Amino acid sequence: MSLLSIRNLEVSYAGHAGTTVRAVAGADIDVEAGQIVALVGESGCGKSSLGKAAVGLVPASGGTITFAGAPLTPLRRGARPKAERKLQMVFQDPFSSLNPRRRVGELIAEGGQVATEAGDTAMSVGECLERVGLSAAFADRYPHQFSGGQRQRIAIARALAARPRCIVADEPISALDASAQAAIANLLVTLVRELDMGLLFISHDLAIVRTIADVTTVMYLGKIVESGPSASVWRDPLHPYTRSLIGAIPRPDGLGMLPADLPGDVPNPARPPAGCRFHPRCPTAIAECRTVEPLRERLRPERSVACHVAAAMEQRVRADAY
Amino acid sequence: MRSAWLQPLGIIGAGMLTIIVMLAILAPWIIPFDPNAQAFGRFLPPNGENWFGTDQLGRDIFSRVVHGARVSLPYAAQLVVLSAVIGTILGAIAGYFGGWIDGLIMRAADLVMAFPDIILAMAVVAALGPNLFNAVLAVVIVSWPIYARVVRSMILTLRDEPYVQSSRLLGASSGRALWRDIRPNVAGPVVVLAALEYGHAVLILSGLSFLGLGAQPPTAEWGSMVSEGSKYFDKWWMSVFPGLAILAVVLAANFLGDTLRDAFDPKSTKAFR
Amino acid sequence: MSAAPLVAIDTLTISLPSADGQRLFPVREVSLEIGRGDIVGLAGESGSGKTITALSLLGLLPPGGRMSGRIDFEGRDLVGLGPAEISAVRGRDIAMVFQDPMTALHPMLSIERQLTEHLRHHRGVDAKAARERAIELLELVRIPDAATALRRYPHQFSGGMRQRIAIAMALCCGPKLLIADEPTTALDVTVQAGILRLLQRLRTELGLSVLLITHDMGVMSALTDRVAVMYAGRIVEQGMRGDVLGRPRHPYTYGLLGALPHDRGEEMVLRPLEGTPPAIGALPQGCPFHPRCQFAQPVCRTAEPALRTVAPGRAIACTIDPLGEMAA
Repeated sequence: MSLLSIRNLEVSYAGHAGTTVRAVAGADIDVEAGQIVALVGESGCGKSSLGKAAVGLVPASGGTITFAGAPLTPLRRGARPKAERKLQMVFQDPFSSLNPRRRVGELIAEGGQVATEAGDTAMSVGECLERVGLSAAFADRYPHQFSGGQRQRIAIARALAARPRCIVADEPISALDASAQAAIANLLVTLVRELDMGLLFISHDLAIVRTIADVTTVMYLGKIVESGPSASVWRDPLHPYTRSLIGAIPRPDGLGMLPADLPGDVPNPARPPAGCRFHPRCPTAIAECRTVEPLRERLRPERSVACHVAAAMEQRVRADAY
Repeated sequence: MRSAWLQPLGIIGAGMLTIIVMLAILAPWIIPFDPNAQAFGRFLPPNGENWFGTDQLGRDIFSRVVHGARVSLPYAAQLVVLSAVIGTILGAIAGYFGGWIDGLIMRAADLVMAFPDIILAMAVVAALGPNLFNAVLAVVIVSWPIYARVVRSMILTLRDEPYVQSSRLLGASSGRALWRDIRPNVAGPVVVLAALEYGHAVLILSGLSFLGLGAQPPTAEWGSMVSEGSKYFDKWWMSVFPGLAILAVVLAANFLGDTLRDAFDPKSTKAFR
Repeated sequence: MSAAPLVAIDTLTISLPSADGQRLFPVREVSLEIGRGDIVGLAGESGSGKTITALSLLGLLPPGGRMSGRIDFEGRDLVGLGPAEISAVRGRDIAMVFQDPMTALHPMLSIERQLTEHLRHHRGVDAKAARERAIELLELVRIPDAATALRRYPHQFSGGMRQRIAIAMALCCGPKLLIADEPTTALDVTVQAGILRLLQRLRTELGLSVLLITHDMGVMSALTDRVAVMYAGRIVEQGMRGDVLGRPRHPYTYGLLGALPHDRGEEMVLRPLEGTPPAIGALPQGCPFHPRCQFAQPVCRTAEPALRTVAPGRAIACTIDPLGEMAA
């Protein structure tokens, strides 16, 4: 069993006029210790809802979440169970994830307390700050005295103080300047490797994901459409949506190539299209895609995709090989 | 921090209030005459000896106005603190627990706010008996809902802030998060509100006394002095000077409250840094 | 570039009052030309002065802001113009789109009202003609079913569609220059690609000049002809897009590009540019970039380098030019 294991997760919200919006409509994800799993998708695809449900901030309406072998309970009024505090979260906006009226040292010490209560030796505040590349002397300052990148480091230090075994990071770099983005991404990679943590890295930026994640998982309208080792997914995307996402990234090479666009908009998650959810925008859709929803299948070792066309192609390739 | 107090209105407000408070504290050494002594001719207009004139019993109005600050200011302060505390606690309970408790508290608040406050306060005092203590109680009853509303809505917004969620994930119960993460952010706006409400409290207390429901004769209270003066319309000095005193306090409290509001607003350019 | 450029900014310096009564200089001695039908990119981190440079073209400076230098627009100097004259230029000859399309769109008014109001009330176009023009504009920016779209409200459109509508509004008076400030930053990549294609098409179909402000070097590379990179209020590198992005010559440009994910065989590396940009009120002595520069020499600490031409159409503000041989 994986460190963090999400099975058939559903997250629903009440929409307009009594409708239910399934933000996450059945998703499976596994994160192992020492592994970075990226969850990629565009706004409104449900990746943030998945991340919040994964740590228990929003209740799941279906499916199971297992952390370190035990089922995860959604957060209620009381204190979070001690075992679950080893699963932490880093938020997108480092300006709202640190209480403006509390000192950095105090914020980090709160994380350390969690470690002590769970029987671990707590890292000192200074040690935590140094781990994320900040000076121990910053403990006396307030969050507003730091830049965005530094604040994100503080938020990471706070999570680290709890000695987590797994971190869910929801768009942790997208609010930062380009140079800070690379630095924070590198920091997360280093921490995962050194501390043998699991990391679920939620992002809309496939380019950066490819450079840091071991596994890339692509989500579209509440469903996971493709998953596999990052390098392999990037080099040879099987799902047409993944292909569109990669093709739409403008390359900073100075060659002046316009990226390919994907016509149409993401449909309203309250009324997803019948059949394959991507079919109205899909360049390769066939008749079957309009009626039958494709299941995610393992087509190659470690590669899975939910697409009728990709599955058929793959079968033909295999048949030719015989 | 400095920039906040360098606002002209802030300086004026703080200055006025300081002077008024000093006058109240030092009243026994400042006032030339016993405020209740009927030592002069009746209805003397302002003159060299009686700066604000005298009233229908021949009492020195200047002494009575200055002495009146010792009544209005502390009572208003007590009632503002009391209603802020009660309102904050009720608002926090409503926001924190939600459900039927929230419904009960907020409907009660709506009920109170549906009445013009002076009318409701009059009804309360009429039921309890007219004296200053009951008047204070009445004003507390009409003024807690505004604090409850502000605190409740702040708690509902702050509860979903990522920094509160991150404390919760670290194991803080929602009560502890309320105390450690939410309380410090609610404190500022409550203080601002209390400062703005202070003027209002002075006004409504004087109003009750004006109507004969608050301070009783012979207490030198601004509202009842205005009331007495209004019976002798041609003797303008009798109501104008206590009236000006009320005006000064209300104005100073509002200036100060506005400045504080700017100072506590992180988006304002005049904020504390 | 042929003939006279549409816009020629010449040693533009902008100063603003600071809290303690000093004057700050968020833009210093910026010179930039935009030819007719050219797309020129202005790059840099937040706080580098790129947005305020663009706003100065519209005469929109923060309170207390002062400009010196020249902004030559079709033979007229915009720097000396009064508020009335500049507002005539703004909207008619120069228009702007922002990162958030809702900056330009009124949430409570129909698209038709927003697109036609200016034409009807300031241009005296009658209702029918204005409506036709509005439909034409929506079709130009590829809003499907333009006639129906006119009756709708901004919230009924997706982010990408709203940005298209905002661009249509900017185009309503037929401007010669469009300033696009991070027009795709808030959008998803697939939607961004559509907007980039739209801007490219507007340039070819209408001969529109575009000043594109973005921190995204990918977007820069996709769309622009020429690129200027700003740091601490000055242009530090300027040249043709392929040169600046393909063979950066200023260490800052080099660092910015190095921080982005690149294909380098199978091995993927991110090399962050360390440090943060200096505050405009507290620039380091010498070259403002030297504390973050991996090539810095002692000389960089003393003298601030001027922008100098190092090759035809290529200028950098670097004393030592450590990347010169590589780039040449």
